[in-house]
Amino acid sequence: MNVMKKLLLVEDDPKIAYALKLRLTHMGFEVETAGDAVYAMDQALRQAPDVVLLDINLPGGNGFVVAERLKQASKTAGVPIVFITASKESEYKARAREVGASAFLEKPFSASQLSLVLERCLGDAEQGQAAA
Amino acid sequence: MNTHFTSTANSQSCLLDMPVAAASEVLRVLLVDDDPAYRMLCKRYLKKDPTRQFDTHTASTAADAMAACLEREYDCLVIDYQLPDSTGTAALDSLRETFGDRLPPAIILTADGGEEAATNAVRSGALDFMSKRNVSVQSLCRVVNNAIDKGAMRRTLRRQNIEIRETNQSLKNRNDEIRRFYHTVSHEVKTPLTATREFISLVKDGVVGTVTNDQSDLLSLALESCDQITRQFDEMLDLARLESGKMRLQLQQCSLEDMLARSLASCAHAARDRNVRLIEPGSATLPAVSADANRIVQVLSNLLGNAVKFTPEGGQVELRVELDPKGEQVRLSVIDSGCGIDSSELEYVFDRLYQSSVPDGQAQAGGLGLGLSIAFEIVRMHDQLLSVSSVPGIGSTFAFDLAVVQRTKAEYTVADK
Repeated sequence: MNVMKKLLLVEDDPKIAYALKLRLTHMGFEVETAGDAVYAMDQALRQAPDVVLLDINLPGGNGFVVAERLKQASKTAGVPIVFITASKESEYKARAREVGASAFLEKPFSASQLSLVLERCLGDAEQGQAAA
Repeated sequence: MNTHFTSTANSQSCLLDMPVAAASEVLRVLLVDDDPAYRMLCKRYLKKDPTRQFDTHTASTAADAMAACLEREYDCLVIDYQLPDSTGTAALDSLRETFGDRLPPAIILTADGGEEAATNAVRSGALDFMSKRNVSVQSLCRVVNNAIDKGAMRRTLRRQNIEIRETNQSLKNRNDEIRRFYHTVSHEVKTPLTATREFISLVKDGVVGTVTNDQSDLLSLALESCDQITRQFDEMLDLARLESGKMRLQLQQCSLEDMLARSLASCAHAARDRNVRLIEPGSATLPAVSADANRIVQVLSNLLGNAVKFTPEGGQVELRVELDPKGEQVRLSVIDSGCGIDSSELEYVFDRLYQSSVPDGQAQAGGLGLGLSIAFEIVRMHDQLLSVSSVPGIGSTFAFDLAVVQRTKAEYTVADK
């Protein structure tokens, strides 16, 4: 990666947030974190990150609401969103597709799964931009 | 009323477990007939009943009957087919509309040879009918008593039906609660597990400093244990889903190669560790199948995982793929050279919580023992059967079919160009 990609990590569990921030920084991302839905939307709209890793169960709302808001705002509409959740509720995957998520990762996931998904999402997003 | 079990219930009702009107109770009968002389006659007859005491009220029209029923409850209605303002059956229909299930048992009195009236009476839900000419003390009392007893049984059945429905509903609710509870527990365990797994993985990957090979090996084992916990919770959730009928397949046209590769990858590590040779299917072009790819990968991974687990060092596990001659089905088999399953155990392998008795020192079984029963159900949801055959000491074979997606002629032409 030539320019460091900006990643917004939305995760309310402080330990997961800490571990993932370490991991993502190591992968070469510039990582911002948000621990609740409101702050997440605020951060995303202000910073327009290259990709968002988004937990579903969040204080102050849920990941789906955050995703919907980001897809509506012109500044963040094209930002790929990757849901990360420890829940196995079968409706969640369908809901994630509905709100336009690029990927869905079930916790716990391995570093290689994470990096694969992020690469694919960023690749798709760049292609989308080039096409537009 | 006589609908409840009471201390006055006679011995017969106890034997039949049915509440029958108690002998001492006064039963209210409504007699609907426009002929005053006939009303008097019936009233007199009913007074002579040897077992029960009847309090007979009368009405002369359908409208009067409705008014009487609205005023008080009756244990039995006796209605003449020919009423000045309606027929008996029409009167009964409108009474049923008003009272629904609470309508007392009814008897229609028909004129001589009134076959049509009799048919209508039965069709309109009257419990019984009798010809007016045949009315005598015995026949009237018998018919009324019968109707009252049948009515009581109907009420009991209705009540029991309602109770069964309610019990059913509360069991369903309870099942949902348990399912939600499982989900909550799983979520609450996986959250710290995610952090644990990632911290271990960060250390192992050398993100926070150099790690020796020995340290890395131990951390790999820790990661495997984390993944084992995840799998066990996933199995538990799958089972809860299956039990509540909430598991849904997402059937799609999918690539067999892709599914096989993912399944083999899931057990490659364990096979290497145990020095078990994995024999992969040949590279012949495979047809697309109609399946839920993730679920089939889950089934194959489970079968392969078991096969590796129960095969001694130096043994082999084969994943075989065979297309049937007609090209409609593809058979997937997992064949191991493991310890085999005793014929007495063979019929239980798909039972929930089945755990094979493993010869000492060969392999640790571990797990909740849900894997095979879940695999069986997933295959069944694909309208197929997961079968097993085994020879102790030689090995076991688990196999199932998948439906091949039939390409149309046009698709062939396009694809072949």
